Amino acid sequence: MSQQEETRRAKYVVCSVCDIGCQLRAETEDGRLSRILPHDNPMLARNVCFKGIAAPQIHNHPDRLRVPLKRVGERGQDQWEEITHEQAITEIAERLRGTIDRYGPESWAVSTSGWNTQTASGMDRRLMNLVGSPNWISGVSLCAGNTAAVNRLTYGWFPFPDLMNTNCIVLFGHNPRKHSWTPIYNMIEAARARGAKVIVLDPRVSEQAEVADLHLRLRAGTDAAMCLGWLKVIFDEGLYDAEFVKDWCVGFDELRARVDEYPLERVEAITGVDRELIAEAARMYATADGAVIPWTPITDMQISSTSAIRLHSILRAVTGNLDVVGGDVLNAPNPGWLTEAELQLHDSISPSQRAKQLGYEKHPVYTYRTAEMLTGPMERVWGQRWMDQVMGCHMANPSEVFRAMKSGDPYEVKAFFVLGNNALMSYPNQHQVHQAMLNQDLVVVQDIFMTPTALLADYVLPGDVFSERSFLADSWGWSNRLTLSEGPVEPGPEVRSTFAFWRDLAHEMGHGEEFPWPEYEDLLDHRLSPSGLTFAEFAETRIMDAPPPSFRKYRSKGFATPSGKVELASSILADLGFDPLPYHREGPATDDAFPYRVFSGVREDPFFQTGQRNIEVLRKRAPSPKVFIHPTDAEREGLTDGSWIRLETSTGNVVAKLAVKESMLEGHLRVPHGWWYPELRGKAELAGAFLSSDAVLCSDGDEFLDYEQGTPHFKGYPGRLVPIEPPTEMSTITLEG
Amino acid sequence: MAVRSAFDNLRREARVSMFGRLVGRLFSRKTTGLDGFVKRQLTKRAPTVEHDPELDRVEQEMRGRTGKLG
Repeated sequence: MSQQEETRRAKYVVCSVCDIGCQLRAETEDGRLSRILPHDNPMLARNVCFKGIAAPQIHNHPDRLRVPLKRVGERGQDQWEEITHEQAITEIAERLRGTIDRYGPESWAVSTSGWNTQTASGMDRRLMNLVGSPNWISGVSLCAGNTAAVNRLTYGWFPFPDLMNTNCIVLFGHNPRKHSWTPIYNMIEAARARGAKVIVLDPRVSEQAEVADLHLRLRAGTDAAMCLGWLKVIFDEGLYDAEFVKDWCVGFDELRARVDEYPLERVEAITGVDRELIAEAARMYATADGAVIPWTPITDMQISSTSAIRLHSILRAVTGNLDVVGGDVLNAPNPGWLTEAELQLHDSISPSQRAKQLGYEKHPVYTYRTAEMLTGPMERVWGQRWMDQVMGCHMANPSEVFRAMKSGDPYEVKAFFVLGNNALMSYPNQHQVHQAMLNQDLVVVQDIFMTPTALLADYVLPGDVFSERSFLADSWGWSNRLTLSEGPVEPGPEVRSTFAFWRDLAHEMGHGEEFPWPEYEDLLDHRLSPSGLTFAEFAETRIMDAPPPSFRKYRSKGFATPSGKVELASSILADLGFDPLPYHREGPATDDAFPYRVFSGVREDPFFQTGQRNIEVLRKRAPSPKVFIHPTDAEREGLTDGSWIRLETSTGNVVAKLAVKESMLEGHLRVPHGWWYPELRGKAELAGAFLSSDAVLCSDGDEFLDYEQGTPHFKGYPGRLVPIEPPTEMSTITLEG
Repeated sequence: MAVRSAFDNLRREARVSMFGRLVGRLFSRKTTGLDGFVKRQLTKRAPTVEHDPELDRVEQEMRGRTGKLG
């Protein structure tokens, strides 16, 4: 093979532009990523979207951060001095030590997104635990991580849907599309082609709803009531697996009594869906020979989120769809791989420090408090005390952390590290997050672009991208596949992986002995040690490792709950002082002042979360944020498609273009997630971080939070529209497309 | 509901587990022997991949451009 052919040879990569992790191939030219190709394995070749294809524009972008920066002006003024990585680490360690000496280790908080960073391998929590800080937060607290923690209340684990063999798929607002969550979209398409039924529950006629067998247009934020209605039908008509319930469930009678409080007339009144349609959907799900309720971010972000997620779990269990072929499967961890939790040293942080975790008392479901209650069951079933999935089972509550950062209540949090995560715009009550960051003694950000969060930092460190790192993607214990990603490109001399950041900081902080891996590949060798393979041997022999599926594993060791059974009435929730049974709680009411139900946190195809607004080829596909409205509502307001509006809530307001859509449910407004304007850097405060960001709209006051997790109610909070002139500060691409 | 006899469960689980083992072979780097045989067989069964013109358009639009807005 010639040198030119060798450099052009495609390497296998796992895309991390979004969080689904498509397996692709990457070609390089002159040491740069030049092209993304679909996988050459026909089973994987359809899993590619235009975000992945655009990776060369992202990875080679002229605005990529390449050198560590130290703030020299006021916080947020965007004035920097270039320094070396070594200087940055030395100074960060010194200042962090100073903060810890003054306020205690719990005064250090970290926010991260594993999807973006990929190489942390638990090193962040490892150092935090050695130092004694429990205050780790992530966007997974309102997206999949919290689902994992809540699922564990019922049957001790978070299942993955067997879409390959199922006969019925229930999508609670989830809307996988050709260019968003592409592999799941493709699996749903394949299931549909072989005759599987699809039920969609969504206020709007989404792409999935358009082709669904049944579409239930429920009022936003009423998932729990809908599930209680389904259970009413299933119990009354005897459509449940009585033998499984008898042998493997506890709390059935109490649950049934609770369900009886939700006759279909009541559920119809709450959800706005015709009772006959509710019953038809419940029957379709319950009578399918193998049915799944895949994870959905929609249910994660509601005022009754804990109950609604638990109800998904309960529906799976009582209909006989748990851990069976075609149902939702409890994947055992890959036996050849050390999990992140094993590397995180959760027994190294004292119980008294764990108890200081913010959220531990008030909203404990995904905090250490609940994880501690599950250590025994986890060890019995999975062989380890601190099992974790989707990073979501030992977290602090973000709103509690930002409140402490802002006000020192209940104690001071004065150092905030953010890795691969635009934290300013990723949690509710953005104005509080902003004030919290302004009140810090030390803010450190590692990212690939200068985000609004990075603009508030003392140090900004350049992170790497997927073409610049070799790693194994493991989906954080949700599935048990290990997928190879070969980094074909050398990162710049001052660019570091997340692993390298934590390794170097740990050494500087005096914990080097606990971080004995010189390179990331050494840590991968360690993680693969149960398999008997090194990373090099893995990469040489395979592109993926997936243990053959196994089912009904509970027969040998039971479920990882205190009772060993599926807890329809949760003993953990009862012990924590909450209602052990699921319920519907009404969200904040609309009124004359705020007549619309706003649902936010919605993804658009060209972007992942707050990213990619600076990538030309993607921004062209969605040049401006668009609020969707039903034609009847638009006509009443005197508004037309394409006009500019200000959407106001009791907490904040955003400007956006209006899109009049028949697909919307009357009385609802749909707001896209994560909008800022990189092109306005230097022209608008924090590059327009407050102009159109949905994170300013939703409060994190008690009346907007789920009790048990403290998750925000992004799906159906009150708002109103005000017509405005096109904002003059916007760029041409925003105004004209 | 997915209420199945013990035999039916075992039959389905065996089939899916066997398929899972074969799929594992699909992701090895070997192209000969059993791995190669499995690859050839499963490749035949794989769905046809229709080309998505939108992906081509993105590629074309990127050519010669840095990616910077404006």
